[in-house]
Amino acid sequence: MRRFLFLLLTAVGFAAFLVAAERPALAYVDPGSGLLTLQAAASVVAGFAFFLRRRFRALFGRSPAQSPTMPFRAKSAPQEPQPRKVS
Amino acid sequence: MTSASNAATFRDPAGSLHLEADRAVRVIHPASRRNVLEFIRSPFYLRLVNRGDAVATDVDDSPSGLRLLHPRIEFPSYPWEWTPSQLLAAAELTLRLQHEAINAGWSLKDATPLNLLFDGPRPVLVDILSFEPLDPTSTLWLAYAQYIRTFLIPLVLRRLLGWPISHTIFSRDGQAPVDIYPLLTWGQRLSRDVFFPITLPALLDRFSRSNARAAHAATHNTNPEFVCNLLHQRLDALARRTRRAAARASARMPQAWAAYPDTAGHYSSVDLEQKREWLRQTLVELRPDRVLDVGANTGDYSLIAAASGASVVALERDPLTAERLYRRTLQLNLPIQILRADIARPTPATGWENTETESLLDRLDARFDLVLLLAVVHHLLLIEQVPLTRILQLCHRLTRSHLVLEWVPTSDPMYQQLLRGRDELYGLINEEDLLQAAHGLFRPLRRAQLPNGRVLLLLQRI
Repeated sequence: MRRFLFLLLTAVGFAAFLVAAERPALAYVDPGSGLLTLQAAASVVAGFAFFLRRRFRALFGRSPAQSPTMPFRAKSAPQEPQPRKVS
Repeated sequence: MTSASNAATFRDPAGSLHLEADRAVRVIHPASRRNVLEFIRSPFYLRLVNRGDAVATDVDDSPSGLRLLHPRIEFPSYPWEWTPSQLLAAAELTLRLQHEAINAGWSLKDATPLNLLFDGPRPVLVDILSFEPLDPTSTLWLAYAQYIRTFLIPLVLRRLLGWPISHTIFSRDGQAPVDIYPLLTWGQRLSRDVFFPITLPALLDRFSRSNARAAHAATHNTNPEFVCNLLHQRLDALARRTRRAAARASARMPQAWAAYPDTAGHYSSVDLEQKREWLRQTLVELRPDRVLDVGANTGDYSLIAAASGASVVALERDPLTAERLYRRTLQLNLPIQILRADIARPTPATGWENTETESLLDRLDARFDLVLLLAVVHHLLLIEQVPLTRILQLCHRLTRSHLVLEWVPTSDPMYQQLLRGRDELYGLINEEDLLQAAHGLFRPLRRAQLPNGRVLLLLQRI
């Protein structure tokens, strides 16, 4: 029960932090309000999944250091490109 | 070339660009000086230049201010003159650069096809001021929406509604989801290719107009590893959607000329071989550096010109034929620039005071040593109803030196097909009339008649 409360409080705290961290975007192009919200919503979902995963792992007694911290795999990061001479 | 020196961009707060005869000059605004210099000197940028993905830069750091000098791309083209595969190639390069930029601590602040030009069949990023330092705490890519408006939605619309890519000329910054949403049926809105880039943002737009600031609250994260991974994931999703939209697009393409080479019964293999050989010999003799192929069709003659060492600009009016030709040149990696454009209705200048992008004719003007007009004159004459004198005047404007022209006689089945009973007007026009129209503009140098009656003429500009 105490763990559950702790989890709940942390979640509320996390959400409060997100709201407190609000700042204007410094966009040069129109960031599009609908698409901006979509990005933000996707970020919240991913952020929450990230947060929950850490908490759940902690609940089952595994320290965060031992577990993979990322819900994603950085599969998209391109390989170091081979420099090529421009003809 | 007067308009070439007028062409300029000025929207970017980091600097402005103007074109000079042999270079593009960027004047950097003082506030951006540090960032720009840091970027120019970064290993990341050098890597892009070495690979040919970004334009090279010389720095001119004088007391009057910082200027960046770039070599001119041989022939600038705009997204509305591209084929879907060209738009896809530009989109993929943009996403690839953003992936790499994130890893190097940079980010594209804008993502529009106008930041890229084609150098032969390859896209090259020319707007190097697009890079700014990455904010490692923000999960937003602020150019995300612009990418969707300018790259993804045109490809999706082409597939769903059959809108040609050339329609992108009507909007400077692409199509907003909220403008496209009402045009789609519910079936289309809910399809997976439309739901995320158009439907959901359009619906969210209603809610978020008043809450746009609140949306930012959720995007701050102090874990840089998380931020980078999220950004990479988002780019991967965009790349998948873009490829899908481009891959399925061909189903709805108009196919006016696609079957032309297969059905060109007015040409026997002997005629074709003779025509090719005549052109090859002419190219060997003239050794032109730059060739313009008007009405390139399958691109056979552009390929011959490129093989002779010339850099070629190929104009093709039919979208599917242009698309096929682009894929062919990409495969062969030849210095041929494909433009989906119509010489009879050349692309106009656009933008603020019509100076942001140049018209097609201003770009073509006196830029070529040889202009090929193979089996095009009868189309201009009969379909576009342009008099011979006007056609020859335009050729005189385009070429600096020579013109190769294929004259299709009135007895030719293709001429007869286009004539459609207008014999009184066009039925008696002959080669003499053509030479009469060329009088004072061109001097005939050589003539060859093919077995099918068509005539190849080499003319020299006076």
